[in-house]
Amino acid sequence: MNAGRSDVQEPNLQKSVLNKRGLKKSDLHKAAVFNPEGQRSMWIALFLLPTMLVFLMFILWPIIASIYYSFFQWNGIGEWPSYYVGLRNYQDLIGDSHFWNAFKNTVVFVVLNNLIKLPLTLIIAYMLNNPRLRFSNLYRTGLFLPMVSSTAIIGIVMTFILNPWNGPLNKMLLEIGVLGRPVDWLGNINLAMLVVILVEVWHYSGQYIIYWLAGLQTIPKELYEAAEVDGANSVQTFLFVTIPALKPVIIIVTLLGIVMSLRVFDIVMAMTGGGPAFSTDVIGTFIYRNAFGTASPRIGYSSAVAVLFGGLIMVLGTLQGKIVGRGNHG
Amino acid sequence: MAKATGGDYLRRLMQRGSLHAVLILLCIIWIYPIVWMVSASFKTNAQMWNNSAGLIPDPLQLDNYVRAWTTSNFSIYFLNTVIFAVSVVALIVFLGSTSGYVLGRFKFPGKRLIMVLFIGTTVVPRATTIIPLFQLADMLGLLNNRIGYTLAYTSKTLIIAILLFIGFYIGVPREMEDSGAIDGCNFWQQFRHIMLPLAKPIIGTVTILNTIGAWKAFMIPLVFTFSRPNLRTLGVGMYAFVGEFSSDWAAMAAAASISIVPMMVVFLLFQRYFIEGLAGAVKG
Repeated sequence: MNAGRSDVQEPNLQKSVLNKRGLKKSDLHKAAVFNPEGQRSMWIALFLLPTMLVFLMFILWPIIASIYYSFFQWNGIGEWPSYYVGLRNYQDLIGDSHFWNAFKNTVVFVVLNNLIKLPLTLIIAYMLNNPRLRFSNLYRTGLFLPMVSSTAIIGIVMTFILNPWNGPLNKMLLEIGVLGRPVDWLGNINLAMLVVILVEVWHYSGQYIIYWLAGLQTIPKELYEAAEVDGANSVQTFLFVTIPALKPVIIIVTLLGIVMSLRVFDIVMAMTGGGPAFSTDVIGTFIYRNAFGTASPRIGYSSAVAVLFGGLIMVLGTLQGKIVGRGNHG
Repeated sequence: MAKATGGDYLRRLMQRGSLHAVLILLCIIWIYPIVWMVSASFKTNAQMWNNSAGLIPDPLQLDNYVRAWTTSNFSIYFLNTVIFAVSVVALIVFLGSTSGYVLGRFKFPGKRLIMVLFIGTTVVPRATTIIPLFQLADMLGLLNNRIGYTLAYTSKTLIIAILLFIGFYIGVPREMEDSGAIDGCNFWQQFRHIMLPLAKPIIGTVTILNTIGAWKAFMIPLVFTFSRPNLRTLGVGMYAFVGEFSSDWAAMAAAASISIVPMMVVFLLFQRYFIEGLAGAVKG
């Protein structure tokens, strides 16, 4: 009975919709013949077109051009490189101790930066995520503020705050007796990298706290309630409820942290320029120095650095993936 | 389980107290450099050296701002930065939402390749491709004009915006489109009137992230405005200013405050929306 009724009603409904739009049944038929699939493909292509244009021209092309340039000796003057040198840039690079120094420093930066930043911001986010916490908005605001300031300004402010003559940090530490004499935080070969890393952690911590907070909000409340019933304290809850439930988010945020820190350039440029004695020189500053920082730019050589570095990172990434995969199975 | 004994209560109170203590200490360390900068902008240079750690300028004076404002072109930089930020945001929202929608909701040949290319290229450090980017702009006549650095900067953060939109659109239930189909919407109308408004949290997030980003942008506006200083944005203007005033720390602090305090105010006003947007992005 019901089925019969709907059979009768459906064409009526269709007709009324069509009438409302001033269409005839044949139009509907035509639309079907004109195959919505084909029309849909056209729309999909149209929606992608502007993005693909920007992508091909401003993202993909510069990367391909870099690979091409890496086979030439070229100072960037003139429209196009012409002195083909084959793999010589790469051979020179493998023998260049400055490159390996910058490579090592970049790896140190990426590893230490993430080892400090990710757990620290996760713990802060965990503390802030408590809905019963008072003033949590105020705390958030304070912790988010640094990420709004630009790296150039952070460079200026931090250079002053850390300076060994009358820098506020030295003054305060001397006053409370932690230090016996002022420390040249950015001028010390052994300290400069660590200080740059800490400043970078401070600068971007807000962004990561936000990522973690977003992830923490996806954990069902029931899990926490169950933990409370079991009498778990907040540290236990964090270790045995939050961390396991957050695993997918942890993987994404860690990847994001690694990718972003591999690009390190601005903060080093603004604070130390790669010094003292190349102790904070990273791949970004190494490339910049070779391409823009000398009277005779080595564009081909810089491009080779970019390509080789990119390649090494991919190899490292695959290896790490394999090791992690094996760890999971074993 | 509810044994609210006195000892329990005391322990809880202490726990909460230490939690607040930790957070307060963190906040003080976190905002000290910024408060220091703003306070230094009201100090004289002599005070900056003698009372470098203190946060209360005495006497408080506005001379640094006058010097920073009159001797540099901050009013022009300001206007340039606003135009730059608005164009970048408009472009990224348009490109990110259209391609994110299509990539998030439809299957079509070549989709996998596009995704691999998008994600693969985000790993490449941007400093390494600035030279070909510069040449391309030169070839297209886009150097030293607003369109050039807007497009170049857009390409820097576009992929992340697209990924945010994809993540969101994957999670939107299918029925939303079906309801549009019944209403007789075509593909564009369906997107414009149903799917785009749904993505408000992502649009908000992308807008705030890129406004902040454009405000801070440095390398691209620098390289693209070498011969047209009057197109510079605040990030670049600040850098030029440091070069000219290398010993006038108080004026530098004032200039730094001019360039970032407006952004902080914007951020504080829209903070709530921003966090909700990001949370939505991860959930979606």
